[in-house]
Amino acid sequence: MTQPPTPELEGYLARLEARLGDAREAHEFIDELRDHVLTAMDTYIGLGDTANVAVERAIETLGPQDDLVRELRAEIRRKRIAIGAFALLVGASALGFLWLVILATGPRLPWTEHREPLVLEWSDSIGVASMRLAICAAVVANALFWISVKAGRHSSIGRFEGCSMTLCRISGTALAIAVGSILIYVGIRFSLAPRSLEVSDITLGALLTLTTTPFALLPTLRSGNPRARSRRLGFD
Amino acid sequence: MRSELVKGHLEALVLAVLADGPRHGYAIMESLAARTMDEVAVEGGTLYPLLHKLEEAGSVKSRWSEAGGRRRRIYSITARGRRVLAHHRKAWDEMVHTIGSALSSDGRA
Repeated sequence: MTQPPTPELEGYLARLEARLGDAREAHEFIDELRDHVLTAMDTYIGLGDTANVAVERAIETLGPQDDLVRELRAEIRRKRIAIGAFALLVGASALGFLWLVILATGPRLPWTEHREPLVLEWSDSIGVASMRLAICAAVVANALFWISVKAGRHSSIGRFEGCSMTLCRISGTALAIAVGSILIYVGIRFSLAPRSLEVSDITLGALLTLTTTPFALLPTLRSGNPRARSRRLGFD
Repeated sequence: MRSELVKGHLEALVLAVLADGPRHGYAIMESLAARTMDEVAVEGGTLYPLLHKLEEAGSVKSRWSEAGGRRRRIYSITARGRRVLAHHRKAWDEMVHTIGSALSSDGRA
């Protein structure tokens, strides 16, 4: 017999959800825990418990809520690092390659014989350096995360994860700077010498950059602090 | 049974349960209790993160299904998980032999 969700169970899950934040992974955990508690309730009712006792015993099988929240938060963080590190690596590599191709294969610069205007030189240098940093940081972040997965439950795992998360943030920041610099470079170059650029390629590149960058940065930007949120709601 | 002793072998225990067939989280918990004559009682806060870590490491895989009008996540062991389990079993046998030798009164197993 399948038990309908009780107000006590829904209240428990709502508190848990508020403490975990609104990440997709948190919703999946909640669905999984709801099924767990309802299945356990079926068992206890089958053994002769009333619905109220059964729901209490079923919730007890999950252990103390603080421990559960701590473990699930750590798991959500791990998943976010995995997705974020990979998205940053793919995003930074693809965007770097795209702009390299566009700027390298486009028409020749009108000032190739002379020194490039300083503002262009700077935005170009900053963009290239930031893009390299973004890619390198994302590569190392992925490597550290992979090591942490392979290391299993060794005590150093938290340090690898922490470093991976920090590198994701560095990579995300560098990618944002790189994108900004590239767009500034293209904008200035276009205003100085419109014919030095293939407008259709630049438009395509800019559109792709503006649409793909948020996806690469989203996992880092969304990393929001579920603890702060649950504190605001008064659950911590 | 001392929980810290069990915790070190929980991964192997969960893989052993899943080697018998796919199960959802609560069923894994019940199987663990049944196989250890209620000596091992794992809490959800320990089991679910472990299952997700095992999935991340490629030892188990999961799929969502529908049961009684609600979503249910079913876990099953992968080929890699079976290799990991075999490794755990071998390591366990070696440890039992070694510790048994050390603890026996005449110093031999």
